[in-house]
Amino acid sequence: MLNKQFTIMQIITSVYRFFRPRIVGMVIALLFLAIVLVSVIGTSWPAIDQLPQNLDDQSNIKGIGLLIFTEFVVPFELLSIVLLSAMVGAIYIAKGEAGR
Amino acid sequence: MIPVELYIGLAAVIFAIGLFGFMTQRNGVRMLMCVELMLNSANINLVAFSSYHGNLTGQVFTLYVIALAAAEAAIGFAILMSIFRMKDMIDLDKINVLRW
Repeated sequence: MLNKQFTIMQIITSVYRFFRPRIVGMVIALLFLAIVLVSVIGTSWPAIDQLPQNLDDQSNIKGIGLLIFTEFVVPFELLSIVLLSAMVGAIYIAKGEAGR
Repeated sequence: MIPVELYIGLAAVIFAIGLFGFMTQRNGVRMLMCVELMLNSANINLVAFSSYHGNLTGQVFTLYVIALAAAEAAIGFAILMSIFRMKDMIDLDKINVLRW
């Protein structure tokens, strides 16, 4: 693959042939990107000037852990139920009928 | 300090790539990969805004989004496995019958 000689023309035609059927997808994705980037750069974001660097909890795992078990306990428990049911459902679907 | 626009721009670029991939792929597994890409770009936004507002709620929400993305991927692959067992191919263009 690497030792073959590619002329520029070959590369361009192969790229064109690759993107030929995907042109509409590219246009939509680029349009989406343009809209989001223009709106993002246009607005001013009220961010704090200096990132909070509390030394004792450098990677704020303690903060997230406290938050999960104090403020977000209900979603945490619901999440475990959802994950359990997803796993059971996935196994049941993947297993298919036991007969075949 | 890095302005927030760069993080949001990065997330928008990754989302656009996932969107382009999702629209132009025919293989089921590849589409699920692009969905994961889009979810992760949303996570980037969540974490960026959470750290730029000095508030940990966004990062906790990201944990839940990741867990739900795992559950969704599990169900998606289970369905793809049953389709593959039925039809020996996962070309989602050719699957247009709800009940076969």
